[in-house]
Amino acid sequence: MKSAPPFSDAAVVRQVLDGDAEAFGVLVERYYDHYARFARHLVGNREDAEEVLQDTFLRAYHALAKYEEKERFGAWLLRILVNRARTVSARRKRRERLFPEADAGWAEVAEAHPAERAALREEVHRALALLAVDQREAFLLRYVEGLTYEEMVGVTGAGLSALKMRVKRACDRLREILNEVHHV
Amino acid sequence: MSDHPVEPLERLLAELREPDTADPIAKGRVMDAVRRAARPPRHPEDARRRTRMAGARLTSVAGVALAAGVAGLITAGARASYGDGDAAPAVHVFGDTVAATLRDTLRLVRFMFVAPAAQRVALAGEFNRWNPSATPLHRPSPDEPWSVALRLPAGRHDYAFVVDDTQWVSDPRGTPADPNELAPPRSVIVVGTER
Repeated sequence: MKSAPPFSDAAVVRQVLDGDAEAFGVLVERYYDHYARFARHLVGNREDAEEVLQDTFLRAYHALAKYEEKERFGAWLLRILVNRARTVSARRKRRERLFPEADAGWAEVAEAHPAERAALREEVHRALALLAVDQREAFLLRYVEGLTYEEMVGVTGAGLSALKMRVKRACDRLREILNEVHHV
Repeated sequence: MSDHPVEPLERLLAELREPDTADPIAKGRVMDAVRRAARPPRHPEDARRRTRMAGARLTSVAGVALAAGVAGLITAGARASYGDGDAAPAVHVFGDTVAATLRDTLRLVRFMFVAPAAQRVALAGEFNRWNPSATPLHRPSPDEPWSVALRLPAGRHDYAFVVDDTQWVSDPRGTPADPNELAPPRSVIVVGTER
């Protein structure tokens, strides 16, 4: 079966810069779903994640002339997304309490039964929520998005040592939280 | 220092790595916002050609708008303008399909379908192995057509619209494909022959 030959992100960017705004939809199709997951894990809820994503793509559209083809478009977009997520998270924290109290006791999650899948997901998000924002961000970039530390430097603007420390602390804290849940 | 996670983090990571299905409506809103904001972005190189649709009055269609070339995509039912002082592209109108030859390199095709009562509309064809899940259409509001833009290689492409997951229909304004009692109704588009 034949399939449409792909063309590069850079080619699409050039097309948009030539005046074809609709072509930007190709980039949205390529990246929205994947970064939706990351955004949701980062900010903790779907509604804020959608706001982050819309803001990210709109900013990317307006800033396309600044995109340099030597950088992977996905990484450039991710950098914008991380910044937008920080803004949304900070604003939300000021506005309301998003996540449960840190010392709330969590019931053991019965994973064997598929119906408890939602509970597992909630447990995971609660654990993430208890991390500091920069640790959560570093942990997700490293272990969910699979970025190298060098790529993470480009996306976050933080130094290599700082990023490694954040990831380590995130891992330690998550183990602590999850052990508390399972050893009550 | 090692940052390799071990149990119970593996369980947490397995959950976090599960693919997530983004809301197609939210995704559609992204392009709605881009369209509202659309204006020719400033290009760092001034010598690029720009295109303009001049005097191309397009009717509201339930069909296919075909764009040929890197530089442009024409959406049927809208007038596109890219800048002043540029040569108008060659425009051919046949039925409700508009093909504009702008630059002979890439092909971006916008499929459109009018179905105000539908909850979901998808596109199926050889390009996505006749899998309607792969290519949903979106619409900015219930009053507007469903649409999706795809990149297609030059050549012939059979396709059909799938309405509400069950009803396979050919393009009411497109060119019907040769009837085949073993296949659902479908249409055909030939990409890359416009001049």
